[in-house]
Amino acid sequence: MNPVLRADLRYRLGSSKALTLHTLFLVIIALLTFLSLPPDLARLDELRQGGLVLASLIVSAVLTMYFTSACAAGEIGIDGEKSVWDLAASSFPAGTIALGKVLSAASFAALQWLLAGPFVAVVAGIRGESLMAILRAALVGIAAATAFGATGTFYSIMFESDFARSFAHWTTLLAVIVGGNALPSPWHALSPVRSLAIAVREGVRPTVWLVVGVYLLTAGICVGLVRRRVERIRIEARTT
Amino acid sequence: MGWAGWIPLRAWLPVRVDLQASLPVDGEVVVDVPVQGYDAPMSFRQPVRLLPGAPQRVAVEAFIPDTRGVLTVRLVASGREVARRDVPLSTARAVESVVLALTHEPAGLEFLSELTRKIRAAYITEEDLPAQWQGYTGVRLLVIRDFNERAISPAQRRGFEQWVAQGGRLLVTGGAPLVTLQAPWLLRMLPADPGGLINVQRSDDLSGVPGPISVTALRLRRGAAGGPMGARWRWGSGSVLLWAFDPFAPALRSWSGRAAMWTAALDAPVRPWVAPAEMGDALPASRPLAGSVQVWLLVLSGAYILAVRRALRRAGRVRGGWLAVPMVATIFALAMYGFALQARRAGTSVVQVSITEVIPGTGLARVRTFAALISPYGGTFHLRAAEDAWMQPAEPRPLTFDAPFAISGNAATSGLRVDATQVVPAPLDGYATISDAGLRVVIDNRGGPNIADARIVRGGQIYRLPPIGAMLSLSLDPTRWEPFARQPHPPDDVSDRFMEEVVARLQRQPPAPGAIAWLVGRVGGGHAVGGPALQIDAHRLVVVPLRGALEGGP
Repeated sequence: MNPVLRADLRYRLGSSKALTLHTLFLVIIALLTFLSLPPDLARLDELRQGGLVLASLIVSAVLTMYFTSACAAGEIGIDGEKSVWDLAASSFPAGTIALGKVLSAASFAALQWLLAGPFVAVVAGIRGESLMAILRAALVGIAAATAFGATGTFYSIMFESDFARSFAHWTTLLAVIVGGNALPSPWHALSPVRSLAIAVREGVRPTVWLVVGVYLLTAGICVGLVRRRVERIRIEARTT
Repeated sequence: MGWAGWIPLRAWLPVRVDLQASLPVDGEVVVDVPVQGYDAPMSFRQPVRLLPGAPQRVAVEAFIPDTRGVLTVRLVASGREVARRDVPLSTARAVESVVLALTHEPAGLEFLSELTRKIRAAYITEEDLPAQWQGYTGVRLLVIRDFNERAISPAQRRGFEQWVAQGGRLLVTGGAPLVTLQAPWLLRMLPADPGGLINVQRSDDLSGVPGPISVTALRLRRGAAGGPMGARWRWGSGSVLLWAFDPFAPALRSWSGRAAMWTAALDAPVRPWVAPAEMGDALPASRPLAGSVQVWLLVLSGAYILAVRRALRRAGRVRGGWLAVPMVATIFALAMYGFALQARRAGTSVVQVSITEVIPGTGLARVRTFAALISPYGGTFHLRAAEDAWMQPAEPRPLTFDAPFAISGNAATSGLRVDATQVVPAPLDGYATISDAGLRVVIDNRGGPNIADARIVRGGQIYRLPPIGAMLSLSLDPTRWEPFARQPHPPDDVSDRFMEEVVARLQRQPPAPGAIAWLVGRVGGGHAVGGPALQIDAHRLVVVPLRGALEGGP
């Protein structure tokens, strides 16, 4: 097992800050679940039955994307977890570090989807939706969060300034989620919110697979970029 | 479509489809009726099997809520549309009701278009008579001149009799066709025995008609009213008129007094339903999520967050401890999903109230059932009633009718309300006599279920009775009458609410002819039935007009 992934997982599961983060995430999802329960809510034309399940899944996806990328970019610091900068000074190969960090982001995203599962299941159950819809949404949600996590990892090593890093992080989030949604068809499917909606309503169509592929490719590219950056840092460290 | 193209809105009417195929077709005819405010239509389906080269006529029972848009008839086989025909609807064809005239001579009722009300005539043959009484809902008056009993089926006969008994208007015209009428069951319904033909030079009832005219001699039956030119009586809740003359004869077609004569026939008094369709508004439309469900969900959520925190803490410390995290999440996901399904089931229910109104002297009762499908969380539904109970939604919406008694579709989150009407046998009758000692009632309920919470309603007052078994004969104590007043807020209990509605309506309604008082009670008691997917709350009320002296007719 990738040693960077193993260490990150340990801290992202059980450290006190991680516990607070997961609890906060669960409380938000639980609150949304309770708000979606009243039967009269579904009488609003805009909020059809399936719409409430979709809304619940979109909120889970957006929160997961934010938390994953914020942890990877260092915007939310997890106790004990070593940043890419720290790891660059270690003896681990650059590829191991880059891959480990991106895999940590993917595992973190999967963990949050897993944790949100029971609450989304309540909304799906009461609205008569299938649990398969949650699994389809998870496919898109985890892939998108992994891509954001990988991008965050890259930003963490690209930008030394906290402000620049946060700015780039938020710009990327808004550009992909909101900006992507504003693109003309079929490009708007690049927005994770849009592709998640397609996956829930219409099933895992080729468009969804294509978008998931784009997200995973982005994560792969980030692995390469992080690896190169780590190697450059090491070269720079040796030359100074 | 409809009655000679006339469409009484929201009334069941036949859509006749002529089919012919070059290949065998085993499919269904679908009539799509536009519904204002919705993209999807209301569909009426009927299975059909076509043989090559053999023409076939299919009559699909449908109702049209609005004459704007296009009605579509489709032939569908194996899910594929084989043929399609669009029929534009026109508001000019929408009418209040129709007069059906069963006559070999399709002329004589043209003057109806001069009436202020939009009532139009349709000349029909025996085969056009509906097989169920609900098929007459848009019919104001059925006129019988030429009638061949052998040309109708037993179902058509039963539908005919039930329609008149439940409140239809029947006019049988005289002259030569009446003399040769050979339908004992129809002759039994007439208020007079027809004799032979006689020539009348001049009649006060038909002043201005150039004589002589050929009329049928009439012998009034006991309880009937009228004279030599016509007789009338009530048949159950309906009305039967018999004219000694033939209004379709040339001399009467141009008679100046014909409009008044026909108007009287159109407005012949019939007993209105105690439970009109609007009474269904008293049904609940929603049901809040139970407090206990919310508390349990809160407890489950809290337990989950605590359990997952514990598992996460352990995962970071113990080797392989991470396995506890997916395990906890999976167990809680299944438990909470199951819980949500139960909450959904608890929130989905059918509340139905049947009001059985006894038709005195017929052994029949007309029943209107109001049913509310409360489905706050949506989903699909299939609703099937008894075959003789035809249903209509209170508000038109895209639904599929596999038959007039079988509806399916997507449950509306705002609730779906349907009204079903049927005529059933009712071994229950009641009488009342007034004397100096007060009112005496006799309820004959032999063969019927016990009646609970019974009360006599008369002149804005109610009198509570003990439970009624097979028979009740009681002199009512004049001091025990109570004034009836509506409660400031409708009662929570559905049965109580409808009881109040019925009594209030009886109070407002002019007393039925021949009825001295009304008996209202509950039958069977409200009960809840737990089904696999929903709960059913069923309530039954019974209303009996208590007759005084022997009335005319049955």
